[in-house]
Amino acid sequence: MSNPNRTILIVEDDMVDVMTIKRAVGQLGITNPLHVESNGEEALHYLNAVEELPGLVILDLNMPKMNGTEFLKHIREDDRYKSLPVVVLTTSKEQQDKLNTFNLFISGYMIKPVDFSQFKDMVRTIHHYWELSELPY
Amino acid sequence: MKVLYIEDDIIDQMAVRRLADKCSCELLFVNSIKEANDILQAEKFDLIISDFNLGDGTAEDVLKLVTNQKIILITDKPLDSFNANGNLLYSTTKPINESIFKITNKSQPLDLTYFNSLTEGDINFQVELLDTALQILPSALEKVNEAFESLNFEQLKFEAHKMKSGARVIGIPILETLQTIEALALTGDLSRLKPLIDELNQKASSGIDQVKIEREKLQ
Repeated sequence: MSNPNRTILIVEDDMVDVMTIKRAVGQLGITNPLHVESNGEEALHYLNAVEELPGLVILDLNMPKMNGTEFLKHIREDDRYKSLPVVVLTTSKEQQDKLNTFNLFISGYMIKPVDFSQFKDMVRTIHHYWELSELPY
Repeated sequence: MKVLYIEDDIIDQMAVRRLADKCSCELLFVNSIKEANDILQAEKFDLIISDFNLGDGTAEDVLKLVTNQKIILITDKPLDSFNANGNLLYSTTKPINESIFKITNKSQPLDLTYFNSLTEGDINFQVELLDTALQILPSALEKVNEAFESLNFEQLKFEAHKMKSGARVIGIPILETLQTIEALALTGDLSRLKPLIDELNQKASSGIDQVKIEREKLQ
């Protein structure tokens, strides 16, 4: 990312998926700090508490308490977070989920691959893109 | 459950018999490939367990004796190095644990392709992943059942969806069942959902038992 020290916020309640993402990030040599929250509500608390916003949010959709779509609605209504780049990483192939989240200005919608090497390729691609892109803040 | 155990070591036979008694399994021991061949001509078994090295051959020879049979090999060799001959293979190492008797006729082996590609032989990570799966999957199954029993179909859809990820990584063959439950949940059609929930319970419980076996192998 433009600032390689920016935190990547992972909003994901499934521990196995978190381990998978961390494994891929580690193997790809990505050095950005990772911070994990297990639902949208906790992610909002985190955003409220930090001084520097994350460079990227990787967001699951199906989570308890506050799901990914609800989280997006909250941040897009808040001037502090409305420009936060968010990539959805989900197993949901539902068209409605894609439509709802793109309408909430996500930067990408990725379906979790069933193969780890493809998963790594996906994480690598997301990282490279955000490494090249300027951030809005 | 009727189990054929091919083992030429008397001490190991004694240990296994003790475990089988606890599990109320009907256990028949044979000491050699030849004896196994004779008994398999005459009888059918729910499960065959075979030590790898036997006096007159190896477990490779056992695999040639039967097809479409569930077989546990006592070996540390990777299962894909064997010619399965249509059999469903599982493996464990000595000392064996009573959980191997939980592999029943309805069991399907774990598909460890994703797990192996993810862990790349890193034993510590394998242990961590299996422990995490054993922590989350029983509770995920319980949540699916709770949602179904309380007829909360929105929640059922959510819980079925959530369970997929852990099951996928560990290779428990329930993804199709979960996907169908997820797709049908909001219809509230109990006549279609009930058999799927039953199937899920059976396959997931058996899968979790096999995850325990995989975990024990890494002790």
